[in-house]
Amino acid sequence: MQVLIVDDDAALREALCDTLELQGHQCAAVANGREALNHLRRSKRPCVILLDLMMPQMNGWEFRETQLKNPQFADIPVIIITAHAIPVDNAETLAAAGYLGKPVHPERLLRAAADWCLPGASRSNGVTE
Amino acid sequence: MREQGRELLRPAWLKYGMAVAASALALLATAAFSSVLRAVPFLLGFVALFLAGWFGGGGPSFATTLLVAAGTLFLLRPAHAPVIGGPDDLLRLILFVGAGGLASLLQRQLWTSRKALLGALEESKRSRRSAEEAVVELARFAAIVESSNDAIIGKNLDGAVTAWNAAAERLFGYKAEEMIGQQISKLMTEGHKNDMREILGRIGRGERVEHFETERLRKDGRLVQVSLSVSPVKDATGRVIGAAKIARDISERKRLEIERERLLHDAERAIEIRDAFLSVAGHEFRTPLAALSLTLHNWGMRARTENDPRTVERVQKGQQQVERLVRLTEDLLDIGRISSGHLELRREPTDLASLVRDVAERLCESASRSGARMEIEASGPVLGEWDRSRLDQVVTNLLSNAVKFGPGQPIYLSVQRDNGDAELTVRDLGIGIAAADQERIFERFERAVSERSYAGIGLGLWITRQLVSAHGGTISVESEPGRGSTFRVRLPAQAV
Repeated sequence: MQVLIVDDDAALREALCDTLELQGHQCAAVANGREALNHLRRSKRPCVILLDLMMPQMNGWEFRETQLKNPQFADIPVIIITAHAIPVDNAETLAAAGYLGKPVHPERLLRAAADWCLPGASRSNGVTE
Repeated sequence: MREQGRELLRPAWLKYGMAVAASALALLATAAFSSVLRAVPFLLGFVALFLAGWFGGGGPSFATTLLVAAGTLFLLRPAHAPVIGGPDDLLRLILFVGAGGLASLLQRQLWTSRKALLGALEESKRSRRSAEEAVVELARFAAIVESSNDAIIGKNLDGAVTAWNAAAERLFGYKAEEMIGQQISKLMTEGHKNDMREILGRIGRGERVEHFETERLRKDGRLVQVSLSVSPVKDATGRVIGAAKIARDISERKRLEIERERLLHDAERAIEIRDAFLSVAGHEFRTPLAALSLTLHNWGMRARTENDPRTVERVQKGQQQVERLVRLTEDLLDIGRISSGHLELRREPTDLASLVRDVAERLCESASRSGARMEIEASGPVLGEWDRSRLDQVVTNLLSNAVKFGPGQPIYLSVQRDNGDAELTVRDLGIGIAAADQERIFERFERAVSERSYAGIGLGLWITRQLVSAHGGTISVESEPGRGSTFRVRLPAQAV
């Protein structure tokens, strides 16, 4: 099962994937919402999407709006990664499964991945900081 | 002039005494010269009553008449009494009394007229004196008006100028001869033409207008800011006939007020910009810090797998520095949160005693590096509804300060319940704080020590106090330079 990282900061994308892969997760990383949609159309379905909000071309809110309109991807859980205060603006339209604040704590990141991606994981556990 | 009318003021006893004396003399002389005066027996009596009348007026004159008549009748013996002889003599006596009475009446009239005349004279003297005094007083007032630094202007109810002092000349640029008789509206700008109607309306009702701030037009076309005080001027019957206006130049004051407002606005704007900058910067720091922190974490994980303790140790030191950076960033972000009132507490049941033990354990390493030893006094759990992470920040700040300013010295912590409140004290034996600095250290960006000796940006205690206040609590300090400091935090157990 793969975790999809959507963040415009390359160093953070790389570090997040590295952390997850060290614990045995598979990881894919893209730089904005548009790339994320392309990835979803072309590649296999991720178990969870870690989504940054402020990104060029297509931001997190726009991605989420498009994702929720598409019946194929609408039910993929999304955890928001934000440098800003939680709850974020327009939290209700995001309908996120959880939030992770920056700087991301490795243990919380791994717990979120475990909650959604390990076989037999309970999907009811939201992660909120 | 001064002698005039003095006889009118003689006392009665003197005037009547004179009448008695004149009567006695007349009677004696008549007795002595009775043979000569047989034909005109009351001649000397007449002389006496005229003299008494001249000296004392109608009353003494008539008294003399009666005294001479009675004396002639009863005192003089027949040999010396020329009138007592027969009915002719009695007729003479009656004629004498009648003529004497008439003469006395005339005297009385004369004296009354003289008195009235004298009174009128006195009155005219008095009024001349008060007129002279009034002129002097007027001159004094005129001097005061002329030397006033405030413009003093008189005007009638039609708005025509009736008085214009030197300060008015200076303030408005018009000379008195240019303004007397002219309309005061000459000084008014378009926007303030209604001022005069309002002021004159109030004056007409007999009211005063005080410190009315407005602007006026000078002769040279410049505007001048003035404060006006206007009082009604009334005639003797109390009717309002005009107004006296005092105008003070407040241009400088207004300029300073505007300048002060501008500076205040600039200062507030600068603080807003600073807080906004700190907020943006703080958020921007979070992403690279996240990448750095995860990278170090991953590096440490690999070193552990590869069994490389030296790398693990180095990575741990790196992670400690990242944590410091994270804390500093959070402090900067707290400025914005607290200043804008967006600090939100997430209250939950919290044991302050165990929280203090956790923080002490976390800081144990840096404390022992500096040679400090911590002693915690807490008999049991001290529970309350508090924001755990914010209280952690409070304890961390106080304990870090104790380690920083009292290296190599013991630090005493105590947590106890006191009258329903929780009380935390942190006592160090460090450098201490001078009395003058003890309030200042809780302010933003304030430090009691030189930045050349101790690192820090002066936010810790400010944030600490804000967090304690947000919980409804208080923080205080007792300290003496060279003998250490005791910080005392009191927290209500329940949200207030």
